[in-house]
Amino acid sequence: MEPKSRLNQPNGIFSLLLAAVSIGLLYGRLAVLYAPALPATQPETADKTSPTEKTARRREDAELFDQALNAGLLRPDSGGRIAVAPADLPVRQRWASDHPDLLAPQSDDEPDWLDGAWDDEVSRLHRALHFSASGRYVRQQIEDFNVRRPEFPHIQRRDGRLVWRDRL
Amino acid sequence: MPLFVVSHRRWLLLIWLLPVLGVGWTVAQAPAWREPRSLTVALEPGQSVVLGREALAALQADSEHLRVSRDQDGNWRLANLSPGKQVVWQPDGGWNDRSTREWPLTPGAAFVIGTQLFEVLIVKPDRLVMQSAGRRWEYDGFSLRLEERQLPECYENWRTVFRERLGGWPGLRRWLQRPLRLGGGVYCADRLGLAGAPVDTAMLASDRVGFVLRPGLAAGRPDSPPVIIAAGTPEAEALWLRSIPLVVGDGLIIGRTRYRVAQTAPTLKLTVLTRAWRWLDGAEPPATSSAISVQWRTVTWWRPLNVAGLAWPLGLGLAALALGWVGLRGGWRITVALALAGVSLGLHLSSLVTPMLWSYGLAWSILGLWLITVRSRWSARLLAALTLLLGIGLVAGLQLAVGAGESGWSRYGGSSAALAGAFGWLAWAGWNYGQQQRSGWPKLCRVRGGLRLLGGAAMGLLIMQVMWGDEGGWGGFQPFELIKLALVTTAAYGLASRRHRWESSGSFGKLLQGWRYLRPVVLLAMVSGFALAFLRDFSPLLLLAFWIIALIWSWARVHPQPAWRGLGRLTALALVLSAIAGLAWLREQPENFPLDFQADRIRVWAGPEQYPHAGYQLRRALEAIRAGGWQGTVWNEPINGRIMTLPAVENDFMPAFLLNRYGGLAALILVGIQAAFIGLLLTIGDRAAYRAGCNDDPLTAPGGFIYFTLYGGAALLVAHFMVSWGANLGFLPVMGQPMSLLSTAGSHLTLFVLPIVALAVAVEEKEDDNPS
Repeated sequence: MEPKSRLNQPNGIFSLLLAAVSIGLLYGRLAVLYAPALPATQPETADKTSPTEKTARRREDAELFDQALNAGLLRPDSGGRIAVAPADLPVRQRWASDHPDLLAPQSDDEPDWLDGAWDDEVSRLHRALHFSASGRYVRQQIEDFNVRRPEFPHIQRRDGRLVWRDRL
Repeated sequence: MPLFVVSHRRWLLLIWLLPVLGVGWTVAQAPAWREPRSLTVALEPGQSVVLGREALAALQADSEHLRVSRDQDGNWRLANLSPGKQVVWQPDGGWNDRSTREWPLTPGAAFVIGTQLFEVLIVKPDRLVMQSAGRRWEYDGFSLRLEERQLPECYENWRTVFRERLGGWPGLRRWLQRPLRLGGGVYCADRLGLAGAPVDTAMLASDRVGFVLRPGLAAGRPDSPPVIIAAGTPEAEALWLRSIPLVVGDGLIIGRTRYRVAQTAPTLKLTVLTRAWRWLDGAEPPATSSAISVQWRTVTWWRPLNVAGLAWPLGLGLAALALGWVGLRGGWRITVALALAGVSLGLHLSSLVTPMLWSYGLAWSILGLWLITVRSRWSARLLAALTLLLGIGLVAGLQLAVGAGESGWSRYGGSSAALAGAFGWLAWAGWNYGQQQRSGWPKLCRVRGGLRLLGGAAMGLLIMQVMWGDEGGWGGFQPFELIKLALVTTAAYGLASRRHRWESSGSFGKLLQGWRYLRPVVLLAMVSGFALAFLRDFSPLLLLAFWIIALIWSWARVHPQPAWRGLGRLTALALVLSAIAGLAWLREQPENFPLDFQADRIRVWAGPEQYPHAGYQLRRALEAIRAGGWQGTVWNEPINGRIMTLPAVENDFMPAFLLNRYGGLAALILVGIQAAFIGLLLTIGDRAAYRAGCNDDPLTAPGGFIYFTLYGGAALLVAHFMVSWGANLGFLPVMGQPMSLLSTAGSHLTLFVLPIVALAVAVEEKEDDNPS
């Protein structure tokens, strides 16, 4: 047992230390936040960035759009619109193998979403597309594109490919 | 000595007055708002008008939210036009909220979704039978049957199994029912797929008399087919455009603003009840339709909006007064304190319609009363720190309300103050009752029984949250705050009992026997861990990890054997260093985070610029903090501005509000007071541990139980402070935890923070009564 007299002493030094460390840490963080922004990157340094690094720095919506397009969760149709995989595709995939008689009939103009690949990565992308903030944004932009194409500046068609352009 | 006492009291008075001055300054420099008292719509029979955000003075409404029309007989009708937001209707002042786009099913009725026609054959409270395309569908509120065949669950998990089992119990069935969702590509227990209709195009939900058809989440989307009700009859109309008749007494909620129909002839008059859009006095609101006129009122901080809002404060106040007077037969002090606790609780329940300064007045008066009553220097200092922290929180809460362009923001500060007042007055009544009875510390068996009751109640509430709530709580209540208190006190009880043993024996065998003392806390921790895992809310577990490290450290520092002391301290240090190293590693490699569903938060924390959507909250918080600078913006600009669009600004992101409005210097002062508050709690804990050494039983003297409780409580408070500052400033991931005594978090305040403070004050005051 520590000496009782020591335990009975007010935690003055400890409190002062705690206050000093807390104030110091907060001051340091605020000083960084309040510091003027660094000047923009010089062109010559930007040019040195490798393509891999550029990909790694892409925004989440651009990344999700490209990945979902490659995975077949976004499909351009013959009319130039983009179809989005339905929200219940995971259940449809399971039902196709477990209860095919309980699949609802599809309409003629709907793509056959069950013909694409389905694995953990596609499942993760599907979840992101339907149940994340960036997925909601991507779907909203696709709705706008379907109404306004080809004037819609955010998604454009280049060389037969759909290209996502970040908004500034 | 008397000179010291006078000086001491003066300091306390000054500290108590500082927040009062802050409140006074905030009210004095508040913008001169005016807000709508009522709206009048004047239409000739056969005319209609489309109303939106400006005309309705509803900030959250759409630009074209509803159509109000008058038929040839002069009756008024209302239809919702918003693609994404509903209009809630309370017919004739009842409590039964319903959407205006809701259609009750009757036998023989028919509706069409896209091209598919459904004919309703049977409707009962627990049974709906329909026919479509030659197939017979039956739904009982749990499972769908196709031609008598029960369909499998869409997602088989513990919730569905739990619901099915409990659904068989009498009385529970109605509470566990779920809607049948129409649309999508599969038939399963709660989904009926439809060709060409996305999932959730419409839904069928049970009510007291049968089933109703409602639009689903996908309704209104461009790819959603129309839903036609009363198909095949002259009354056929789109569910989307369904209109309701308006009569005097009807309640409406449009974009979160609440109205009551006050008059229907010769004009339609809507009284605006809560959450109205406000305008600066002298500023011209945007022009709206000539058919609508607005009657304005100026905002006052003391006068209630209407008498109906006083029902809860008066009712609960009188009930508590009767309890104190008749039931407890206590003195006038206890009776008045109980009545004021009841009034405070009522003000919390009516915080949208009662003046927030009433709550502030009740909270501050009881805090002042406690400050002049306590005799121990340590409890006075602790209460002084509490006064400053709570005062800063309430002043910030008041600024949140007075600087906002919508009247509803007053409920946050008002509710916090009311709950603090209710707790303070209740504690005052309890304290006086204890003094009257001359009762000492509770006996061991009572403490044990009380802890079991606390643990049981907390677990019961957590189970309710698992069943009917979500990550945000259950019924506006956060049961995990009570779990925290139960864990802290139960662990303290176990450790204090063990400590008593190792002081007397010290052998390793006896130490192992001590396991039984810690069994309840391990059980409690495991069950709450499972419950939080089911709720997918892991941030409280991180707080508990911090608490466990602090307990190891506090246990080690009072252990009688130096070897155990060293080992314990070394373990705590190693755990802290591991946590820091783990965080640093995670920031470098966020993609390696093991939990998939929380991975977004970690990635945002590591690179917010790459996540404009998932990281929206953090980016906006950092922008607001930078805009505030060291001095803040409140001194020159009384209106809060863009910071009000930051999600959860009143709760998890209240520090960002403080930094934006009051600046970095105010935040440095706040963090210094927080550190002093923690230091005082630890000091009182240490003093209690010393007294334990003078007495055989650490529970009859406050002793080790108090020591471990206060150390555990302080550790959790430090964790809250750290996590909250970290999430707001971007050096820790966003975890959705409030900052104690600053954020609006009623459960956290009344079920965790104030009980810990009350225990510390009670210990010191008892000691002052019986100095050892």
